[in-house]
Amino acid sequence: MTEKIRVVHYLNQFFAQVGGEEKADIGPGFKEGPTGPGRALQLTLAEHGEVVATFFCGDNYFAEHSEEATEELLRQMARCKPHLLIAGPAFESGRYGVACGAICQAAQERLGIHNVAGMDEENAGAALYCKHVYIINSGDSVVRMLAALQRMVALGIKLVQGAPLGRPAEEGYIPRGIKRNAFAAKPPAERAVDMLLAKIRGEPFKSEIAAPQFHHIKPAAALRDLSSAVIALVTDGGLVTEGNPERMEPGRPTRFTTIPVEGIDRLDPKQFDVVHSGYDTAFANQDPHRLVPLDIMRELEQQGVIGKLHASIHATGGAHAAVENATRIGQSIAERLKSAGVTGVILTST
Amino acid sequence: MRLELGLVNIKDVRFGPRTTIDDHVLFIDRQELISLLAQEPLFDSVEIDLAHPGDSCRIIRVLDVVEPRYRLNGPNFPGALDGVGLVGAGHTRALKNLCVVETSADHARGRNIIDMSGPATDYSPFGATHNVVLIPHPAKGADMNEYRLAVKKAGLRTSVYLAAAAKEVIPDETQIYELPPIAFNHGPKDLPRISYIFPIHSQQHPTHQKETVFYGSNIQGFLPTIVHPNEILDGALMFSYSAFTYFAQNHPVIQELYRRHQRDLWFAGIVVTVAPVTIVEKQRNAHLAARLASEVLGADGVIATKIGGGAVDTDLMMIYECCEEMGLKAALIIMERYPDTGITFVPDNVDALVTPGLTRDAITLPPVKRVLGGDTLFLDNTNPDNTNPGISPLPANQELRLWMGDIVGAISQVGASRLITYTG
Amino acid sequence: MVQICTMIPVAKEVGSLRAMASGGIVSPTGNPELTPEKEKEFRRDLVLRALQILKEDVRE
Repeated sequence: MTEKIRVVHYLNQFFAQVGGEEKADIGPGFKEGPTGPGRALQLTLAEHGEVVATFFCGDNYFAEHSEEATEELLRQMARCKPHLLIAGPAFESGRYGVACGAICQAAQERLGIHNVAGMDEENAGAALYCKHVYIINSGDSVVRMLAALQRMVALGIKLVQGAPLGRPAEEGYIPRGIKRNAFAAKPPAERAVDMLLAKIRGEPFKSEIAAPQFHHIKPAAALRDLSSAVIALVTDGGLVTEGNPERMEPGRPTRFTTIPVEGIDRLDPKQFDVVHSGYDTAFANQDPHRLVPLDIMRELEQQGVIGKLHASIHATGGAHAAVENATRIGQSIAERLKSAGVTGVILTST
Repeated sequence: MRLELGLVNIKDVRFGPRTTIDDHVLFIDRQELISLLAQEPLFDSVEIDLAHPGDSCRIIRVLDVVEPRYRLNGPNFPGALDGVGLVGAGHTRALKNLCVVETSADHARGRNIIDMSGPATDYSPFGATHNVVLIPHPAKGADMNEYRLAVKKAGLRTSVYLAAAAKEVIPDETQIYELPPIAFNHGPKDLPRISYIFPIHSQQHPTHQKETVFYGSNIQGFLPTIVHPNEILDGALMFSYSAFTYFAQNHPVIQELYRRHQRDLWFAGIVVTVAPVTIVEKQRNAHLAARLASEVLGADGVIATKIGGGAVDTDLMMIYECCEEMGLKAALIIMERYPDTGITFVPDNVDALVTPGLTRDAITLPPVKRVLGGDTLFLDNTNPDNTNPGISPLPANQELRLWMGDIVGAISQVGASRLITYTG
Repeated sequence: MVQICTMIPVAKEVGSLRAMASGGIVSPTGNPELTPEKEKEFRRDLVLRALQILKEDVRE
């Protein structure tokens, strides 16, 4: 990139030299060029970039009107056509750190602007935003302002240039909880044999893959009486209506479909498809009841074994779903079922 | 049983009037090879191209990669190419620095890519080998499943045809693979006995009736069994999916165990198994495989690798737990897919995992001058995660943003890669 | 909720404690090797067992 990087700098009211705590209620504003620590930022950027504007907002104002503040700040930022947003460093100021994280995430998602925030790893903003935003760990002391800015600039330039990033420890950012590849000193087979031999000898070794942590879920109470229960059918086997009009993805699904089955007592294979990259869908395509047991459920409803079969089948795919998406999909389906008075669910999974 | 693998290092490959090796250059009689392969009724025509390391060339729709091998006393790939027979003993020639790369017209394989230059070559060994690329065009109305099986067979046929040129060539290096029968396979007590439990297929994508995976068998209903490791190296196995045959011929775990045999471990043999589709069968196969390693091979420790999809994480964890219950120490090699969690789950007591890498790490590949195997890919260049069926085809010669797992040979489930992962 | 699935250990790990064995990865509530009538009986038995599990208490 031979063009100079256009940088905008986000600061709170204090660092923007508007005022102290007494000015924490001030709304979003902007100043041309660098202000306060922005001057050190400009020096650090040297010939690579130019701080074209400084944006600020009172810490309290942002905390209490984050939507409006973000909207206004983005509107003004967009006019500057920046390549890079630098937010903070906020050190240990919690409200300021949260604002930095929020404005960076919004700039990324709504305007596609590369961004780097800075704050102490214990800052409330770090926990909230480290998964979405690159946050340089500035430590808690203002004394380290220049060191923090240097890291933020180095990382920012790499992001703008699309250069590969080093590990968190090398670049100085708070780990985002995203796994990445790196070149290894020894091939996996050798590492596996080394690890096994150490284990056999009782010597210390370190597993390379940590156990994923899942949220604790409290199981629902048992159903006392089936004959009055409203049971819904849900599947993650990729059932869709013929032709897949809802565009369910065969892998990495991001959505679910709602298939109405009121008054229907069987699934006609000509009216349904199965879309899922993780298994051979031929058998389920031949007879969708092999995936969703609608025929039996309808009979059980008619026989009074269950009170009612819910009017819709909710379906998604399960091939390599991102935990975040699967969680969101599950919650959405659960909310719909609950508000429709469903009391029990049969989930069929491949 | 003793296998002598004679390696012939190839430094270039060109088309020529006869198929022969002259001063480490392989010349290929293109017409003769095309005629040989085009006899297959499921092919309408066959193209053969060469891709050299450093070329601005991208091979797409890669179905399999096979190293040229020729067994001096036959048979070659018995059951899959030649008739019934056995492998693993005797003399075999291998051409090194050269691979047969099969491409398939079937779009499902579209995102398997080999780049001969650029950043992909940092990850995959196939950017550094001279590649003989097969582009068979399906006959009109051909059954696509059978067409794909025919493409794989063509790859084996080409492998043998090319390596046969080394029949009279004195190898540059000879590797000896020798392990006596179990009854006589004892070492000093201080060398731990290590076995390898090797799932070769996951039935979540069942094999085709006519598919030839192991000694020509479609391995449906396969139960864990013991085979000699040389059989894997010498042509008994062709993966159905999820791994490339090259990595059976050059199996990283088998080669590592042979390398260290009699040094810091005793190679106590291998168990071959499959991952079935019900939880009961998964448990049964895990029990049987662990029992074979423990009571028949007499192992002290076991390495196990994965194959197939996320479903097979479960089989591996079961194998681990069965082994540990029987007093064997276990270590697993499991490919990671998910940038958030890595793999599906890890039971509390599983403490020895090795990663060959994370498939879903993005990489940008630069534009290339030449593409082999097709013209387009079904890829969303702004988001490699997008598998929406509505994606339009993209010209394959442009800059591509995809996953490292899409680079053929970068991350192999059987444990070949140059990678490790970290949380960033 | 009761989950009819193959990967029961995974289900339990993420908190789906009422997980029960299915007819297999490629046919969770069926069995293609049976005749259509027998397959439907198989499915009925599976579903009835699932409904029974909904009535059972589970401990975390």
